[in-house]
Amino acid sequence: MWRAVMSATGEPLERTVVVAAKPQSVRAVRGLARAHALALALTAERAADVELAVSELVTNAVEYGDGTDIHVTIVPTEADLTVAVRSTTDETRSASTAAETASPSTKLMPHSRAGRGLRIVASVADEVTIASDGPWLTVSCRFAVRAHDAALARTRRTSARPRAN
Amino acid sequence: MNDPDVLTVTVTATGLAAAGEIDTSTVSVLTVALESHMLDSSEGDVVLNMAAVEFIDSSGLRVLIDAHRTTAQAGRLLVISEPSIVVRRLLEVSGLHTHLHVVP
Repeated sequence: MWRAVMSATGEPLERTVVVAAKPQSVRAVRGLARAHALALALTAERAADVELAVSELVTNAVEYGDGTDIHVTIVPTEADLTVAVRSTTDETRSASTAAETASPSTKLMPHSRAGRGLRIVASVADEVTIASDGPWLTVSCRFAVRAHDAALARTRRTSARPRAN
Repeated sequence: MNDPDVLTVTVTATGLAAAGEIDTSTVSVLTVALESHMLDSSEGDVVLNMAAVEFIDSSGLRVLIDAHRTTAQAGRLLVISEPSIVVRRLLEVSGLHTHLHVVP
C-alpha cells in the first residue's frame, strides 16, 4: 500500500509504504530506498549506505515485531533523505534499549551476533532518531546531501539537458 | 522461503563462491552451503569468495561470525576472499575487518 504527500507543484514530499512483517519485504523496501537516494543524487556509495541502513531497520522490525505491518516513510528534501521505519515491538525492545544498542559507547564483543544492526545504521547515517509511542517504535535515519553529492547532481542535470540545435 | 535467483552459493575448486544479495530472506542459503562444505571437507581452510556479492547486511555478517567460530573450534580458518565493495564496506563499519580473515 502506498501513500504519497504531494507539494503544491505536484512533487512528492514524502512517500509511505506499508509492508508485511516478512523477510521478503526487506529486499523490496531497500530497493525503493536506494532508488530515492539515487534520484536525490546521493553518490552510489551513499545510496548503498541508505540501502544497508534500511535493510537493517526493516529486518529488526520483522525480527522483533509482533507480525503487525511495517510502515516505511521516505522523505526526500534538497538537503537530505530521511527514512523512518515504524513497527510494533515487544517490551524488551523499548526506545531506550534500542538507543543504548546503537550508541558507540555500548561495547559489543568482536564476535557478538546480537545488536549489530542498529550499530551499523548509526555508523553509516548522519543521524539516527529512535522514538516510542505505546507499542510502536519508530527508528529514523537521515542522510545529508553533501557538497560532492550536490556537485554530482548538477553534473547529471547538465548531462541530461537536451542539446540546442 | 528463499528466492534462489537472489543468492547463489556454488562449490568451486578452491571452496565456495557466493553471488547475489545476502539478507534475512536469503541468508539460509549461505548458512546451509557453509555447513555442508565444512562437513564435506574435514580439514583445511574454508574459502568463501564474495566477489559477486551485490548486497549484504548484518544477517550475512552473523553467518560469517558463526562460521568463523565453528571453523576456529575445529582448528580451521574461514577465509573471505575477494570481498566486493559492499562486503568490504560492511566489514569496515562493523569493525569486523580486523577480526575476520579477509584476503583481497
